[in-house]
Amino acid sequence: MVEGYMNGFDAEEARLPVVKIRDAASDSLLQEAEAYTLFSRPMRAELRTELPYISRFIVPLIDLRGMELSILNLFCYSLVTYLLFRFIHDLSLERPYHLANHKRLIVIGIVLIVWDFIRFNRDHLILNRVVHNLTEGQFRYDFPGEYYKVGLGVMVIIGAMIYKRGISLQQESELVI
Amino acid sequence: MPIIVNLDVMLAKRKMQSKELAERIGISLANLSILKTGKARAIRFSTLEAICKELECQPADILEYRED
Repeated sequence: MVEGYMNGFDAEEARLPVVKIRDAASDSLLQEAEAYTLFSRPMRAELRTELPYISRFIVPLIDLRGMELSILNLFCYSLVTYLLFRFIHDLSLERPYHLANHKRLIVIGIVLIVWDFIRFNRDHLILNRVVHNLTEGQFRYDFPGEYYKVGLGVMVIIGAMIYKRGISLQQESELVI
Repeated sequence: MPIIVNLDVMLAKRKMQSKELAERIGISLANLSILKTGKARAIRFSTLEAICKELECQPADILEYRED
């Protein structure tokens, strides 16, 4: 926890009079310095004390309450959960491969990719607005930069292709009398 | 496919119904229908053996090769 303010949010150094670093769990004072330098850049800021401590303040927008419960996230979570539920529901030991499940996997993969694509654009939009609107008392907003769902979506689509091969093998097996 | 299944001819000669044959050789009527209509991709030796045993015939009586 750091007590102090920064003035504005630009690319220049700002010297602040006092910094106190506290342990978040016990709230005990860990270190105190009389001056520190704040470097701020559009994408990240670093708080550097003159002590051996280097602290970086990262408050991803996505971690804020409300962002996780956005309409986009709720919609995507609901859709993916529903499709996964139907996928598992249709599975059976006698007939494990279904064309409908293949389509569901493709849709899940596309949803995951589009989901992160929209988040990426939205984060950029919000970030740009926040940077322009930064006023006294605000010290940090950071770009989340975690878009693992794109990779996950690609993996799911590859899985769907393999699953389709299973469907054709199953169909062939069913035609062996 | 150039392989023709003459199972219906053999059934007619033996005056046996498909259902009866299916029950005797232990496959479903649907699968026997797939075999009769030539939609099957392959036939197991065990199935062929059972059919030949029940119809008292040779595999060549059931399967025939004709060029397209």
